[in-house]
Amino acid sequence: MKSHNLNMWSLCLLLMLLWLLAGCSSGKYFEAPQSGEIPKGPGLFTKGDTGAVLFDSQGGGLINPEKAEAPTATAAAAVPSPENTTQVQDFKEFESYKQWQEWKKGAAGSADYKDFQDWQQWERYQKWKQQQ
Amino acid sequence: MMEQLKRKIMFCSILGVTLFMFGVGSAYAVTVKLSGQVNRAVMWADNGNDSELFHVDNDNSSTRFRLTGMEEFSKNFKVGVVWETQFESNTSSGVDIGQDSDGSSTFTERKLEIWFGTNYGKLWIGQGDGAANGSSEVDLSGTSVIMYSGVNDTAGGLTFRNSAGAIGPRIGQTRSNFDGLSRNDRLRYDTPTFGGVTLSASTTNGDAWELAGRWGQEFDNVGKFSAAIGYVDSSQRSDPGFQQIGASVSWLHSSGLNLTLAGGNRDYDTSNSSPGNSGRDSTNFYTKLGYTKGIHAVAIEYGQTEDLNQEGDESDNWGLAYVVKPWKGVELYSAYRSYSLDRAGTDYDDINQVMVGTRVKF
Repeated sequence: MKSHNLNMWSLCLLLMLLWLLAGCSSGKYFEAPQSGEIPKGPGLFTKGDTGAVLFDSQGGGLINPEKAEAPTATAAAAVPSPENTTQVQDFKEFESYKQWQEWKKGAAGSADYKDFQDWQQWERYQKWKQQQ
Repeated sequence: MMEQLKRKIMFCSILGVTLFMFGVGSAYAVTVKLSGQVNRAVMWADNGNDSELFHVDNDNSSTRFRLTGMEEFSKNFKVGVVWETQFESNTSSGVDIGQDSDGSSTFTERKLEIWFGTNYGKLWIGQGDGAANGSSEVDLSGTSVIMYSGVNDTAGGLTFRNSAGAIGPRIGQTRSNFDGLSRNDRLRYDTPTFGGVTLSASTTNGDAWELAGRWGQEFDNVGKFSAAIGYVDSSQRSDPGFQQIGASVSWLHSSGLNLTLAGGNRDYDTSNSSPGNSGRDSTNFYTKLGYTKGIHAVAIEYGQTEDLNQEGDESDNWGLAYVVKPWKGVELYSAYRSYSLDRAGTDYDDINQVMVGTRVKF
């Protein structure tokens, strides 16, 4: 048993020495692949390094990693763009309405509220003018 | 002294976990991932008397799936789980000439573990790699899917025969790369990586324990280096007990040329109740020379284990392999290997083996 303890302490000493020596080297850290394990890198059906993402709290819970990593053609088409003018107008109108609803809660009846109504009326006039 | 050391490791581990708990906040990033692979091959083997064609699961890197989950409580504290099981139909390590069926299907555990990661290292609990597992298997050749120091994974079940057809030992009884205690139910601690070096310690059932050191660094114009060394004390876990040391080093030059060396020694205790390997001192040596360029990798190998099944045994092999990775997640491979056993008083025929197969990761 004594010789085994000696082996262990010799190994500990050797490992510590190697650790200190390695600390002085100028190379970059490199994690070698382990034989027999699933290889790193993308799989046949997955883009990620470590498999298909089933759940990601920062990606909104259960997600499709393909969609999360690269927007598909369908998804890209759904985003409002200058080419898609109807959607842009709808989107802006919705945003404006949402903003007004929020603002109205705290400012109904005030001078600012009247000013806001005047601004909306002016917006409607501008749109009508463009259509003429 | 060993008992004291084990108690200290246990105490430090419990203290560490307790301290972790004090630093725990609410989680702000949770991820769960599914991955796996299928690895199938066609294998032909000839023992000098007879030959056979097998359809096998390549046990070098078996068919399996893996579920991992990780919760990030803060930048400095993460908790993760790994659940990895393998499902092999007709494993390559179990077939022998004369088998005329599909063999058995095995659904077995690989990893069922929880880990805690901090700036002060990583603590693992559960079924998984012991500290020294992989220390004899460092290999940067790119061909380990079909050829590495663990030769028993593809040929362990094949039996040597003499010219009269008398049965000898299996290759698996005469060869070992002395690679730790594989995966086991253990408590393991890894230090933070410093200068490319990580130190590990683990303790498992049967009062067995493992120590290991790993190093990996990349240098401009010289290439990548990786090395590992592991020590095992399994005096109480097996009969006869043993102490074992295994190490390997691999160098991948920036030109693609690569060299791998592995070696190990197992020192068996004296046992009256189980005289099998009692008092024996077994050694292993393995080397591989390879070249990799783009999606292609080729290598040749030589390995020898002495005095494992019987005193005076010399069991060796040589082989060559080719691996190509034509598409993401897909590897195609082929290999030829020849095994021989030199035993006093008996003349065994060589065993020749050819394997062609594919591993697909998903």
